[in-house]
Amino acid sequence: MSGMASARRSEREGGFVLAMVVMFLFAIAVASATGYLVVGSEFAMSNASRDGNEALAVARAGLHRFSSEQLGVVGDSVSYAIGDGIAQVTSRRVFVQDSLNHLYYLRSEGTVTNARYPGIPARRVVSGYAWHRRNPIPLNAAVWVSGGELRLEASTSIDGADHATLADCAGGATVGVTGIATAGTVVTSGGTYAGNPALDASYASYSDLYNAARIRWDVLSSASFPVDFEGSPPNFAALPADSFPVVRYSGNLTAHYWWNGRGVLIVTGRFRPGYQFEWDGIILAGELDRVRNWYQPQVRGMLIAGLNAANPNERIQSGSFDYHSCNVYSANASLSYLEIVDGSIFEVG
Amino acid sequence: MSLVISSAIVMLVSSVFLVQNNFYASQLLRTATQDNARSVTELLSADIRMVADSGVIVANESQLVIRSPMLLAVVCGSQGGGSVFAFMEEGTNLVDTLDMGGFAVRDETTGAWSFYQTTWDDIKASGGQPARTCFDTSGSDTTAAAGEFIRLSSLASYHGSLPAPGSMLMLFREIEYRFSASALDTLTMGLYRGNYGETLIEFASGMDTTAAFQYRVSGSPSYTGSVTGAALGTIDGIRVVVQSRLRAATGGRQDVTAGWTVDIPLRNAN
Repeated sequence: MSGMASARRSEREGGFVLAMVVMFLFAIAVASATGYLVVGSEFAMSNASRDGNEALAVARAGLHRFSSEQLGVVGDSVSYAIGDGIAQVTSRRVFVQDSLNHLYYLRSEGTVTNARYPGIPARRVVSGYAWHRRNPIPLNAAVWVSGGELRLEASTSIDGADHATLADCAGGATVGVTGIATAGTVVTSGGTYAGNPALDASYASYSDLYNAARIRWDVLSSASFPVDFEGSPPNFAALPADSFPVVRYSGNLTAHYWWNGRGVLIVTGRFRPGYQFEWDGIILAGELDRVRNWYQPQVRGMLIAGLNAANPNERIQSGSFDYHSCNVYSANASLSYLEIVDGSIFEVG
Repeated sequence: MSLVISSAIVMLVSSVFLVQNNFYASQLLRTATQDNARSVTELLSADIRMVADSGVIVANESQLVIRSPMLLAVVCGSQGGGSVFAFMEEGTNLVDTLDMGGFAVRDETTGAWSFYQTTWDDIKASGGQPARTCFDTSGSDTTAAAGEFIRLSSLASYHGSLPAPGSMLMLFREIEYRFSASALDTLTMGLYRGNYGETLIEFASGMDTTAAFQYRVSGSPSYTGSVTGAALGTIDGIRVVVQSRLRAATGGRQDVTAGWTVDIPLRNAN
């Protein structure tokens, strides 16, 4: 009898507790699911915010990279993979101030794709304006040497008179430039120099002459800055006749006749114009080394040397260095660059 | 005996539920407070970081008024009758005509901006051949972008002369931010935003009374709470101190707070 009563009571009480436990477990499950959703949505919002900020950074980086890597003709559009995103940069010329300065509008769209939502990438756009400095090096002299004594010996000729004619290019046959611009002294020992005027020794120091040249030497001489050809001369016969490429040699170079060519030759170390070397265009050198009397090099354009530091006392024992406005103009255009207008970068939209 | 055991089980399960519930409520509040702080800083950052040189009008702890750039344009031609043609990306699509506070002209020598208050209706103009004129006279590349060259008038009446071709123009909003007592949550502070001189709208509430703006002027490494006079033109960074606070859902608990400090450099300030 007592066993039956106990069993009935047990059935009643067991059902009550079970229902309570199930109800509470359900409530806990609902609360947990809700919490998970809240945390999940918060996580998604955080990701979206982070991606948006990253897209803005990518867009800005793309715009700056486009302008800083620019050398020569301004491209229409280019894409860069930056970080987790892509920057698509486009340019449009909006104003021509003169033949040397054009104003460009640059637009960079940065996108960052989240693997969870590949169809809706974060997207930000920044824009800015930049001047295209088309001929950055001023036409000052046929030979610039930044310091020290420059000794010109027999069979050496430096001439600032324009050796280009109207047959060479429409802007040829100019009045010419100074023969030698220097921050040091010039001593002749059989050599000659001439120009309009023959000599400009008004530069007080290496830095004076360096600043006057308006060359971004730290950029151009950096191995990480891309140029047309690196380390060796291209096959100029295979290039169009109006192509004046930028060729860079990192280190010291004695350029003999197999380096003959045209364009801009950048030598980051000591440069020595070698045996029967001929160059049409501009040569930029960290330092000018002695030119031997049997080398007889010919430069038709412009030579700027001593860009690393004040050039030491040096001798040019042979060769001709003649200003050629057409070659200089074409080579100078290959060094053209973009200069962002201060305070002009803003976010679109 | 069974009643005691069942009561113990009920108490255990209940306590688990309550702890879970409190934790959930706490997380929800924390999320809300962080949302407040984040929304404040995101919107402020977007408005502020592009502010140009001399683009701050009022700068104190509770109030900030800025000229926020809407777009930059370049004058590329002119036409008789005192109007100019200008390149503007996407034409007039980017012009928020109701919010526009004025325009500015950049001095190409010094880089300084001259600001003028006006409305879009006052300077907009139509007619002429903006794209063709800019192509012919300024060498502008107008390929597939004829609609991005527009005509503007009346600039000379503000600037004193017509901006020359090549001059840069800025169309800007005048935006006011103010930390003030919240209308949505009366025990906290709110951040109000709107066009300067017009009714402000509260877009974030739940700020602590310590929420404030601070300013850095050019050449100074530290931030200060108020800048006036000529020094306004030298502000090159703005700090937003946002302490967000929400009351706990249950009594006896401390308020949930989330705060951070955001430094926003003015990228376009010289």
